Amino acid sequence: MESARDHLRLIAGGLLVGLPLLWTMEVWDDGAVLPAGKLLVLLAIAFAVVVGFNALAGFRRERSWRELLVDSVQALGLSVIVAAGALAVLGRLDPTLGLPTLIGRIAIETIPVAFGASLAATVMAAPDENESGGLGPDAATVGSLGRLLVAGAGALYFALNIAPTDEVRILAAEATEIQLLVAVLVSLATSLAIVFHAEFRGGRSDPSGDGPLDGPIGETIAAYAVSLIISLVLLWSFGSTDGTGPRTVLAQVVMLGIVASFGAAAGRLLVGSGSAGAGGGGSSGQREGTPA
Amino acid sequence: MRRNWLEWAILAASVAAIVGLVGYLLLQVVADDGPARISVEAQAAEGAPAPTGWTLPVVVRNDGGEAAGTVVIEAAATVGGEEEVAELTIELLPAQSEAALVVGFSDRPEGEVSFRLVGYESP
Repeated sequence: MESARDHLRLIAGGLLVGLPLLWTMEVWDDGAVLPAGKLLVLLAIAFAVVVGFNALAGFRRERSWRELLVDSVQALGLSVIVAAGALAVLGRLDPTLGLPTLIGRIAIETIPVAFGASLAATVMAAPDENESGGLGPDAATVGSLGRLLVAGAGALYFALNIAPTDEVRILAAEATEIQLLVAVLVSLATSLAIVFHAEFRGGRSDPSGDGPLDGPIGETIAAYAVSLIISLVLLWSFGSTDGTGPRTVLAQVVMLGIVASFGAAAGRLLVGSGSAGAGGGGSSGQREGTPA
Repeated sequence: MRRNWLEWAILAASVAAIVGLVGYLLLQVVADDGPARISVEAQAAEGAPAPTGWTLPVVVRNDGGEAAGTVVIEAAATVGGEEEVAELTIELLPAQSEAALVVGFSDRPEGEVSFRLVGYESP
């Protein structure tokens, strides 16, 4: 029963990664407060990530576009069911809350679960099922735009755990301009170090090509820009930018950007080397960031 | 056919879950039930003596399309010939939801208890 194991792994991965946000009160409340349109935007982003992960390496090796779509729909659909089940176990689906809140909660908790399910389908797969190991393609074959895509997914996944919490708003409100500048430099320096100098599995020391985004500096700056955009989208989605001036929005983006840039670096480590057995090493690096 | 019955069942359940979730959210976008609409209903029959005087269960409903935060409601009644005012606060009252609360007076109120919405935060 190969497919039963695939689905079991998908559900387990979804729970592993979704756990921190399933236990976060701000997220339960966001399910009640966020307008349906924003929830749809978030679900669309989550689906895009699921499709992207499955396209890079899914839980079936060879497949057509139709199969890719079917696998992605299955991953997202199972995530909806897993999120609803987990919320029910936690007693967060009290009927007196009203249908809009129940649906909203399930929708928002589906997102981290779907990320986990995609990770489970790809990098958490047992090496013998996944002969090339890790995500399969290495940094050179993924290309600079592919690496930025993976950086975006990593940023989204890390920042999603932090974006709904009040801490971002507090950090942003209290930060001085100097602190924000330091935060920018720290984000850039750490992501440069993680990907190119710290010798993690999946790290790189040589440029992957000769384009402007293939060198360490160019790639680091581009990945940081992607991280900031992801941060802004998440802050908007969770209503943190409502009624706040540009100074506060900027401070929030920079503060959340620290977390996002770590995620972007971790994401790039996953496709970094493509060496056999990267599944274990890569996924543990990814899971370090889950506590919210 | 490469896919077995389990895969078909999971695919069907997945499609149903997504269609249900996304469909409902789309309906919400189109319907737009407007701002929070808060009403209070006293369960007069369930009022009971208590060590602190008298307790009266109330149900606060939000029938609107938006959630309301920090909902403050004032309950006023005549108790022993004097006007007594009790205050209730609800942290978050989501759209189309209800909250069960208990309001306390020093003794059994004479006549009707009247309720007033003091205000709420629109999140």
